[in-house]
Amino acid sequence: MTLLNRRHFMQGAVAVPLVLNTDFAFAQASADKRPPLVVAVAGLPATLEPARELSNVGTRVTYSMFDTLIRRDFLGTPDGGGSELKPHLATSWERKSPKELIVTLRPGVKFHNGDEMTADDVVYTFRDGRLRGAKPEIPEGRAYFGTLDTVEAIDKYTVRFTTKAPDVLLEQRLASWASWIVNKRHYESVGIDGFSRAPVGTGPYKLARMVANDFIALDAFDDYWMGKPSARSVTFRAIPELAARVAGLISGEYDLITNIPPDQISLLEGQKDVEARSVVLANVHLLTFDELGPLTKDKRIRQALSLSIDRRKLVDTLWLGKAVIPDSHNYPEYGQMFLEGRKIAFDPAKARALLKEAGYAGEPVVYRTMPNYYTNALDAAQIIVEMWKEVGINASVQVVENFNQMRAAGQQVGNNSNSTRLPDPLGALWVSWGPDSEFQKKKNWTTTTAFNEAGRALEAETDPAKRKELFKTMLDAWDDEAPGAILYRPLEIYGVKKSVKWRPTTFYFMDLRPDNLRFDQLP
Amino acid sequence: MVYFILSRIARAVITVALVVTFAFVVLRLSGDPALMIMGPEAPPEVLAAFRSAWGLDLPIWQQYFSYFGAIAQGELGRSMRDGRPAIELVLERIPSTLALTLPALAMKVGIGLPAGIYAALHRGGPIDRLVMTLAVAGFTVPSFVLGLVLVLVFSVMLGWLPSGGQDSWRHAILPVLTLGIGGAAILARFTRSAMLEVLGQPYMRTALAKGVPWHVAIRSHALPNAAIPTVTIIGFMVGTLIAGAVVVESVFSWPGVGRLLVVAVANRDLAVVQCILLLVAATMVASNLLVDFLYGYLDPRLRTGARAGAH
Repeated sequence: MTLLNRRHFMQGAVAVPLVLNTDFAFAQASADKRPPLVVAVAGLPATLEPARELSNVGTRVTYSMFDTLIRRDFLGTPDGGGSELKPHLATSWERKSPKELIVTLRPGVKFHNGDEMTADDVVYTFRDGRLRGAKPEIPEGRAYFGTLDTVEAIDKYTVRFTTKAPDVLLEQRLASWASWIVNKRHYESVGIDGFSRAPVGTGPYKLARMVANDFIALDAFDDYWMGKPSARSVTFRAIPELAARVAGLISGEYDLITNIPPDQISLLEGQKDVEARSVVLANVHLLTFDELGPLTKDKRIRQALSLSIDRRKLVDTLWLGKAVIPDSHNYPEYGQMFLEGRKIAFDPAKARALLKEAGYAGEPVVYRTMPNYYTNALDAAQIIVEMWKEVGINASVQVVENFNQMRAAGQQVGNNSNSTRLPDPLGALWVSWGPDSEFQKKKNWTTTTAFNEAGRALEAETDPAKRKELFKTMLDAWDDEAPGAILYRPLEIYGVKKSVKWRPTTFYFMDLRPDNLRFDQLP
Repeated sequence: MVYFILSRIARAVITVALVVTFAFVVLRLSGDPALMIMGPEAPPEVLAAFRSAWGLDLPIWQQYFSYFGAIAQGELGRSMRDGRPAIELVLERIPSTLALTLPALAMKVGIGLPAGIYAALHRGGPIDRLVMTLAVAGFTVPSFVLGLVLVLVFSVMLGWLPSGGQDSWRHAILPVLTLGIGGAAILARFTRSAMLEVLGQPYMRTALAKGVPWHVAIRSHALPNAAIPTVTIIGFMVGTLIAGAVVVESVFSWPGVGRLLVVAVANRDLAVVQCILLLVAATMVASNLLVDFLYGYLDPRLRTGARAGAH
């Protein structure tokens, strides 16, 4: 009985309130009249180095802490997917040649540590060894800035970017993934790991405190060059359970919650002070057909699988009609590269004919999916399998835990999502399905000659008409070989207090800059 | 006694080694940390760089032996997710978890024991029936259901308490209740049946026949004898202090060891998972030892038996 005595017990009892109260000095009310914003998210990034955390959970947070040289004006179109470019940390930019871009910086922009942003910081951000080069600190960066040759300061406010080959997308790259400007002095003094935990950017909010897997608290950076931020602080809180996020929004603890499935919209709309705001993402959910798998190695079977899916029915039943069926890997945000008049076909009769021609005799087709990784994936799989049975395919669903199990030997049908990282086929279809993609490298798709030839030519082409023609060739090749089947562009649904005036974008980037966040006084 | 302790420790070490091996094999064969952490859209060269940085490109047996070699030197590895030492990540979560599990343990014992004893002493009466009905309800309702019902009532409908997070002591109330109610129900049922068994023993009849007053007979004969099975259950509850709140921590977004475990398993962040498993095994072993010592204290027969065994 001496092992747990009164003294030990009292120590434990005393520790409890201390533990409960230690974390939250930062949340004390201050004289600042601006309201705080509390965002409940399903998960948080492990670090805050912006180029290292390119996932949905990462960019949602870092987008408020860092700025890019050029701003992509997502909110310039009603769907939140605008692709016009606007001055941001750069006031202007000019093409000197297809391989050379001169960027003029905005003077007087302050970093969170008080330093002025200059050409040195920009050169440091894009230096060989960070995002590009033989052994970059952040290998993810190569997918976006592998085309850079040199980045040099001309003077304090002017930077010259040169690329190895003509790169028509360079301006879009500088407005997008991995291009957030970091503070050179701080980065050099703390290194990548130190910076990952205590980052310094120029964004409207600066880090106050970060507790792994629990919360990330940001304070307003009042010297922000676009003006004072509209919230006093922004806290991203990890609330992995959907029911807990919804309950916390309704009870008023959170101002904004993310990752809401469509079947919760009606629940939110039934509440007085909250509403659902949704946006169609710059992303498609798709099925993948593995050429290494039995049956799916036959192109005709793959085409039949795609032709027998009634996508409209999926969208109407699972997405309340709000998800969008795209015209193949071809999106309006491509601007002049968008190919008019393409449609994804639904033709069960043709599917049956192709199956017959391929000599299909009822062999099993297994569709592997994870239950919750993609919203509605399992429901969609069950419906799709029934659609396949309608045309005589002996199909079934196999639920797996992760991508390794999905891609393991014997795979026939799996699923995936493809993001449109840059508003051009080279920033989407080519990244997802090109020669460097997992599908081609692992030989899941090998009938790629036409596709790869057109894609390589597109990389080097600058003439708009020729680029469009090459894109058409690529897309025809992909549609004909059918290494996959696009389903739809999914919705991302947010639950938001009605008093919070904020619009979502087609990326997971959460724009909380003063021009997209405002609070209405409640009556 | 020394032999007894040494054999228990040796057994514990073997148990822990088996647990760690099992976890290593299952986790490594069922998922690739590179794909889990970098995501399915990561370019192949990124995945390759990640695998080589963490030694995941080596044959699995080689990874296994280097992992065990490191453990033997007290090196528990680093989290693949953010590069921090796994032990640091785990240790910083323990106070949060104890802030739930210790008050919950107090609640289990504080409610479960008296309720069980009272029900046994008033067997068949209305209070016994009430206590047992509540107890059955308490341990049959899964904790995630109970937790969500409490949130619905106290956060959404009444607005009295927060639904999740760890901002203040008020945030701990619902998770502690969720943990405590189920445990108190289990303990009440065990205590009641242990008491009932003791009350029917001949020595109780003898004591009462000798003229010992009812309350004295209960205090000096019934309670000490009924304590042995009850202590076993409480010991088990002590053993789950560190990792017994996985579900409740997830429901209430409480940043404790349980939540860390869930995230680490999903990411196949092996070092962190193993570190938690080692800690859980150690707590279990320690609480079992504690229970063994308590048996000796409570039951003189076991004490002499243990001494006799040591000769």
